[in-house]
Amino acid sequence: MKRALLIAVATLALSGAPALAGGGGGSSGSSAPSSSGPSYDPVEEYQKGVEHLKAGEYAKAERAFKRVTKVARKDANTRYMLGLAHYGQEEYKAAAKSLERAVKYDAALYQAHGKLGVSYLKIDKAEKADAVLATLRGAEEACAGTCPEFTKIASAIAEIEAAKAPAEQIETSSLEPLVQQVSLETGDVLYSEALRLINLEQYDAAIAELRDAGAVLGPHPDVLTYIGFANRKKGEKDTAFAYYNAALAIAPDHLSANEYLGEYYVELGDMDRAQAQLDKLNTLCPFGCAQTEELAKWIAEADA
Amino acid sequence: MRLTFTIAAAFAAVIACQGSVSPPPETPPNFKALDWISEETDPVARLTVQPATCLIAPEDPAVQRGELLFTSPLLLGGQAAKAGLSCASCHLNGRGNPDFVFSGISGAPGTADITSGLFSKMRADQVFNPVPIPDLAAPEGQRLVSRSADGALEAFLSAQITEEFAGAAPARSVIEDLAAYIRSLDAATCDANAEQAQTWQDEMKRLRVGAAYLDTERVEDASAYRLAMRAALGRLYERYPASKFGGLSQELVSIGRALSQADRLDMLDERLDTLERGLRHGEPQSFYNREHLARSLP
Repeated sequence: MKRALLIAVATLALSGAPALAGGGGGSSGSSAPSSSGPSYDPVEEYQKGVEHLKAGEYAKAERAFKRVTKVARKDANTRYMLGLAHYGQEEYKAAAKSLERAVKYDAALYQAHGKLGVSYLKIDKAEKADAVLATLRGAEEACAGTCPEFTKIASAIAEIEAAKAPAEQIETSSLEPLVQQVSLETGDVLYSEALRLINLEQYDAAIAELRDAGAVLGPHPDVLTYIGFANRKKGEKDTAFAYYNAALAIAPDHLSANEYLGEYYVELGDMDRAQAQLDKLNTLCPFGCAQTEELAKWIAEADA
Repeated sequence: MRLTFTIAAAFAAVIACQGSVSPPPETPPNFKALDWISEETDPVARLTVQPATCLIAPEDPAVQRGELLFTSPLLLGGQAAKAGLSCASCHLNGRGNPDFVFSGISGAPGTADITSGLFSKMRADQVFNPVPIPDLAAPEGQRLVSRSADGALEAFLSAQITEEFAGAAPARSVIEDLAAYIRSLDAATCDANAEQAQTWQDEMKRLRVGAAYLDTERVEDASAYRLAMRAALGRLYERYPASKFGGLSQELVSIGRALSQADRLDMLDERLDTLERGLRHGEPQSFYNREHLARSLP
């Protein structure tokens, strides 16, 4: 009975409403599947894609990740995985295109930088590969061995440098490191650890954990919501807003995403929108929920 | 009076049966209580039985109010409240819970790391050190806190809520009621290893206890009790799915919403009377029925 993202299950609207009812719509259990929603669950589809990657079934993986991008268009992990699926089929130009989008949507997804640099080398774009390498070295310097992503930055640099070495020394850049670590339980653990770090106000480390959880679980609304939340705590309000909206695009009735979006509006002084979020939560939680209570408190304090 | 009863009874039958003419397709039920059990736990058993009630003073109103609060997720704060955990999630019927598993908190089933930063930073010790969840009815000598010393239990409970779970400081009456309940838990009053059925009557009793309290003048923090009552309604809603009990489900939602808006509700007792009849009438088809539940779980 233990499920992926135990906490996620508990953040849903109305008892018994599945997270992604209606296949990604995230609607409450009492409503019909949203006509505007997709006909599949993007999180499930993402995980299928990862399984195909693990099995070396790159074309199937590509199809699965492409379906995910129809809902989670700007999910960096999905673009990264799609890039790997192309890479596995030796479609290096397509891989580079997907990986460019991955790093555009999340500049700190360093493993995507690494694979992007290698893809550029495969299509004889050495200058672009050097530019990626320079970006990574800049990140390495800024990190100075202390940031949570340090190991990933170093690995990405090493991967590109290995690919630049003379042909006989090249160990073909492998997909193995990615696919070995995948398990839903790992995603649960990473997610729980991220929430712990958020409580301890270690937001950069939390975001790194959430990014890893997202690589395992896909564009899960809980993961996206808490990346947004951690960014908000760091003062990155625009990024937070984008992540809340990404979560709500997948699961419009996600309780915490709706709560945090409401709090975001309170911080902006946009009380009408904040109240609209509270009204929505009240509808979603006829039997009460922490998210409603918390946002109501924010609004009451702002009004006082 | 007689007429009122007849109409109410008829309405109860209607709301219990509504939807049975052309029921929508039934989706697998999703019970919150199953979110925190181990892989090995039998979900049917988890949803149908509980440890025996072991109370010295089960009829004491303060004990009953404490029991109501004990089942309220919104008494706790932070991630625990967001996840829907209540005191009773770990201490079923005030006892232990050998099947409890919560990702990031539990080691072996039935354990919890009470100093994890996942729930609160105040007691976070950076070490994963889950401990067995204690039976609160355990005899003296095995208890974590003295129940006789003045205020010790109250101070402990208050600190649990605010420090372990990052909740808001509860009103004095809330702590007093919780303490009354916990003081009343005693394995000497029961067959400690026995189990008893989980019933809709358990939830109904909680609703009655809350309603009686809201009707008094001494309410200090009505919201805590109202939230606890709404949680009880939510648990009933899980057992009487809208696909089969459309009218009854709507009434549960309606009372839940009404309780979010006012401390005192017009006709609350009458509505609970009607609800009770509906629950009784619908029980055989509800998920309180073991066979029906077993067939419906995936």
